[in-house]
Amino acid sequence: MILPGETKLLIHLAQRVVVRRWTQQKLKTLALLLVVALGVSVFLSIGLTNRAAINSFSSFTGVVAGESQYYVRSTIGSLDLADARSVRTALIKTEASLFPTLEMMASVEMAESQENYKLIGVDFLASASHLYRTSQANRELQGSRIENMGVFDYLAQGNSLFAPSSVASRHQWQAGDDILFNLGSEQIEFRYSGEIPLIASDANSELPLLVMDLYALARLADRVGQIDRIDITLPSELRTQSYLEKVSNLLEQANPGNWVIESNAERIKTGSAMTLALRSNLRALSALSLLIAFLLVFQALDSSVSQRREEIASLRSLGVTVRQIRLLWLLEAAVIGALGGVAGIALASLTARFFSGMVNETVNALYYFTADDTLDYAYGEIGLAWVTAIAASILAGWFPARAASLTPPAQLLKKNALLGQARRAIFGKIAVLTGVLGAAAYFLPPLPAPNGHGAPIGGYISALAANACAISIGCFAMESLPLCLAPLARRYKSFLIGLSRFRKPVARHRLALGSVTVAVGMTAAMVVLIGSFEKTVTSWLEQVIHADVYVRSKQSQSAEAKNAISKEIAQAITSETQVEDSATISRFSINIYGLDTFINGYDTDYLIRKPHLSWIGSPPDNLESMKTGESAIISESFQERFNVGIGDSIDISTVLGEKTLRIIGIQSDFGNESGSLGVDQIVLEKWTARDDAQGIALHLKSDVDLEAFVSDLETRYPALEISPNRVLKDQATAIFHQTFAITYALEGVGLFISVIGLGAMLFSLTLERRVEISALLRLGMSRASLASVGITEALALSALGIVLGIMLGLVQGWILIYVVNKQAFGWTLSLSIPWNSLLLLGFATLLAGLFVSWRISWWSSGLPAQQEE
Amino acid sequence: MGQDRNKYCRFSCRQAFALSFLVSAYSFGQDYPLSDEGFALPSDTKALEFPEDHGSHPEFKSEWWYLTGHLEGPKPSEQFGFQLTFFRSATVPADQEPEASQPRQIYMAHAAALNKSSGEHFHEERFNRGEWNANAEVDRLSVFNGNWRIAMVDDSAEEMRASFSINGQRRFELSLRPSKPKVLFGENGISRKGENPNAKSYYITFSRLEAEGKLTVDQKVVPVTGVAWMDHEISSSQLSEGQIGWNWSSLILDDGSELMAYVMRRDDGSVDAYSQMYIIEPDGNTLRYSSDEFKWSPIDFWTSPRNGARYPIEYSISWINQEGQEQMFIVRSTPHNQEIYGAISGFTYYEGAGSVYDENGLEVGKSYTELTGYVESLYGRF
Repeated sequence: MILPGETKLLIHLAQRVVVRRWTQQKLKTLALLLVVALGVSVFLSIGLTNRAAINSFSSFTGVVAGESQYYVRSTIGSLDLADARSVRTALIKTEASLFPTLEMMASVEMAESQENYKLIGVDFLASASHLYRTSQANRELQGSRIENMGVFDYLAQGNSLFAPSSVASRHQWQAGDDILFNLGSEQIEFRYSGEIPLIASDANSELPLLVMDLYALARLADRVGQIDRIDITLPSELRTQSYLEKVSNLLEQANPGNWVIESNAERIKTGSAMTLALRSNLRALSALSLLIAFLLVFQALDSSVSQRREEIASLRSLGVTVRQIRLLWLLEAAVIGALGGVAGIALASLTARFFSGMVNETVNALYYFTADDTLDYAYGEIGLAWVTAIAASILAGWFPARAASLTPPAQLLKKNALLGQARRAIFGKIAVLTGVLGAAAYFLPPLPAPNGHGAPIGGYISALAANACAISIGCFAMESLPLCLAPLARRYKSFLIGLSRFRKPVARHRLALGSVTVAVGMTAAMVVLIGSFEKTVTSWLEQVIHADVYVRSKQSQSAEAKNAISKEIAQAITSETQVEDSATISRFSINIYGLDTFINGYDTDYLIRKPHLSWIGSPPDNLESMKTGESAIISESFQERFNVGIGDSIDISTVLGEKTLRIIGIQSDFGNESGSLGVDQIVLEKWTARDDAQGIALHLKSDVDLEAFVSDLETRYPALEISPNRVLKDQATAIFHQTFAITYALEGVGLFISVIGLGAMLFSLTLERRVEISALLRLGMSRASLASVGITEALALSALGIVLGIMLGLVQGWILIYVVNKQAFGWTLSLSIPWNSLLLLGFATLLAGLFVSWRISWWSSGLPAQQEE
Repeated sequence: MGQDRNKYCRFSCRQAFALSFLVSAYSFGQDYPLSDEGFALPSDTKALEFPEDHGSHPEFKSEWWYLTGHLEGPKPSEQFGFQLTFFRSATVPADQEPEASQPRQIYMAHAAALNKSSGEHFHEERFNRGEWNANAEVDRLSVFNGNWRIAMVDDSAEEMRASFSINGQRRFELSLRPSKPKVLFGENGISRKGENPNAKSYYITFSRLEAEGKLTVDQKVVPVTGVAWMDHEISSSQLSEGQIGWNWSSLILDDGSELMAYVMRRDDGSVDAYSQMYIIEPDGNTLRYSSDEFKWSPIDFWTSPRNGARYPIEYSISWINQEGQEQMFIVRSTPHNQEIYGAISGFTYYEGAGSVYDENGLEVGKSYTELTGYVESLYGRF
């Protein structure tokens, strides 16, 4: 705390000490700010991207219905209009407006790709009434639009479709244009009728969204009478706690048992829970970048203390107190954090879009349909990033500030670093302690998470402890580097001088080693995880994708696509003369014990006839019993989320009442972490009143020309994706790599920052040794030899960091696979260590270190003795 | 350009709405004669039966339940008027499928609230399909449109409950109990409206309902009591060629009697011969007057700033009573602006609460006046 009257003194001191140094070392200061900015921007970008992923879950509905306070959906499959009627009756004494909604995915063919849109069906008549009702108080704004709606004209047309102006202008659609869309298994012509009449003034009008009349969509999509959801909105003045409770109670009382009733907050939580594991892992990765960046702040401030010992001692002699010295350094740390944070926030406006694109693709492929335009620069996230930057910077500056304040007055100090005198044995002890802590944390059970999986807190602690352990081992081992490496090249003086610097390593050596170890460790861990994942998933795909041809709707690449293939078309395709065997699979979302998951309808005979599922443990020998509707198979993620196993029972609510299913088998399924329950398809048809299929597997007769068959089907069913076995596997693998794209990017940032850290260490040490360098030059050492001293120092340190990093990566990879991944996603992966990739990582890091150290060493070898920069 | 589009769209909207009333089809109705379009027609041979006929008649093209009333709260300043109307309109006869995503039954509803002290007038229009957000039971009175509802809760006493709100803010919850038996206007409840033999409706009225309940405005609850009038009309054609609209008056008089008059207006400005007036005496006895036995004479007009329609908001009704004396009431709607404009349907008319005065200027009752066809001819729409 700054005492009254101290402000002036501190400002004066800051100008003399801090600002002077910054102006003298412009490049270094700039580099430091850049590194902080980079760390902050990555951290903030992931925060914003995560937020956008959550917002995207509910933003589509808002455009049509405004902000809804409650949502009603079915525990399994769809609701029907009778449910809407029941909700209406239940809420007859309230001011609730209802929006029964059908949600489909529609795609429009582009030159070389297809563009997916969420197609929402709402009851135009009810919506027009709501629009009129809600705009009564605001007629100036919307009145004219209502009167121009011509609702009945659109109803009479039967295929009128509305789109945001951004979508219409991109495709150059004019009102009255007929546009061909892929919808489910058919291509259907829609008439673009104009811009979506916005109800919520703050709704995002840039979403990839199409709106049409509920009844028209139901008819065109062959889903007459069905609805996916009922949105319930209340007038803003009635959104009080007591009124909301009244509505909630009325809904609960009317619930026939198969409704899932969610408040707006609960719905956001549902969306949030779906992506929780992904978002947590991204947050952790981005925090590592931030951590590495602040290790550099530590390093820079430590260097600054070391360089200013005499100055500090003089200030102390002049009466500047211990507290004031400490404040001065903390102030510098805070300013670095604040300025770097501001730069990071500015940088995030570029990086967030980059990360957002990648996260959206992942969320779209694994969880639900998202839009690129949901990114909003929320003040909360920005504030959090900025405050984190300042707080982390102050924390990083804490020990250097303490060291500065402990400098005795008027004492000429040998330039040494803060932790220079730290006893080697301490690092040994820390290594043992953190090792034990990490091992103990490894066995900690997960904390309960809202998505039903566990929050792998033990895994995270274990990984963090492993980092600390690896760094401590490095710090312990560093002093042995001269002893171990000197025999390699005793003839080379530069090499020996370079190594001699580790006899008494300074803090910056340790910090640089730490940042390289952490960055390489993080990357190596991800290399191990991804390698294991790839091996496991590839082998899984080989087993489960076993038919010759697969058929699905073109929109099914989005995980949310509810589009399906109609029974008639499925029957027509499976009855083709070239088909020897076939099966369809149906898939619906289901809510069990308050958690969303999936239920798959399998052709049980086909499962028996063509065993292809990948079982955990021995395959069930009583699959036939699924046909009775009393037994089911589950996926491993389902087992983890619902804590059930073979022999256990699970209750589900269907339109036909409660059903109890006994679990008879557990299969591997890496589709997503929500898990799945598998039942007999015919049983599921009864429970959902839906007979459409999500996909078809075709086994062709041996003499059939695969290409010709696929080509023929593509021509006859242009709305369907017809994929031969190899193509589907390639597509699945591509989606797998796409989901890890952001991980690669985050690793890249971490490595980049660590290499900068290595350079910064070398840079500051070189400056501190300019007298020594000058002396060596005068003693006849060539500039090249002098440069090789620095290179040796950097390379030795890099090599140690890389070796430790790879070892750390192996340990962290193990933790990620067997603890984090298992607890957060419920997947068991087989460990696979991609040694080539790890060697390549080590070599690339070493090369980067070599390049940076060569540039700095060569530059520093020509530095005049008296010049600071 | 914008205005042209506006005009076009409004026209299209109205035309489409009209279409929903006019679409030709063949009715499956077995008990009723059929119109050329195929919808059921009121028949002398089909007597009304209650409580079933308080309910809906989907085989007829259109039907409405029309409730108007006057309420007062404990304070003298708490004087209100209200209107709640449910319309049902079949787009096609029951044995035909509607085109595209056109609904089979369209339910329109209008509600209006008047604060007589402040002159504030609010109204709202609703349109809904029959499947989920609106419905009318066929065997009893139970009609809803969104959260607006009227239902008979006691079939023997014919007691009803009505609840509705305007723009989600002014909520009425009323209990309505007939203090007189219902009236079936015309011959056996069939009211002829024009020269076309099909232009007729079943016309059932509760001319005096005791109303009691509460009005909630801005979370403030006002207990209210008052009187109300309810019509239920069922038809497949109301207007004949040459008719453009009607003036309708419902007078609830302090002496215990009521008066209902409808004047069918023709496009040449004349009064159609099928106009009628009824007086329901305090004992329930009904007196009927044909068009040449009463006069409905405008005294003062109000011009709508929205559309220029000139509505007779003050008028006299005069006739020669059974004692051979001329009798007259003056009806004045206040405030003047009680025009209802359907933002979705484009259907604009006047539904005004007012007071009834005798020849001496003494207030002798309360009134509701409906004036249609002043913006455009309704021929073909009803």
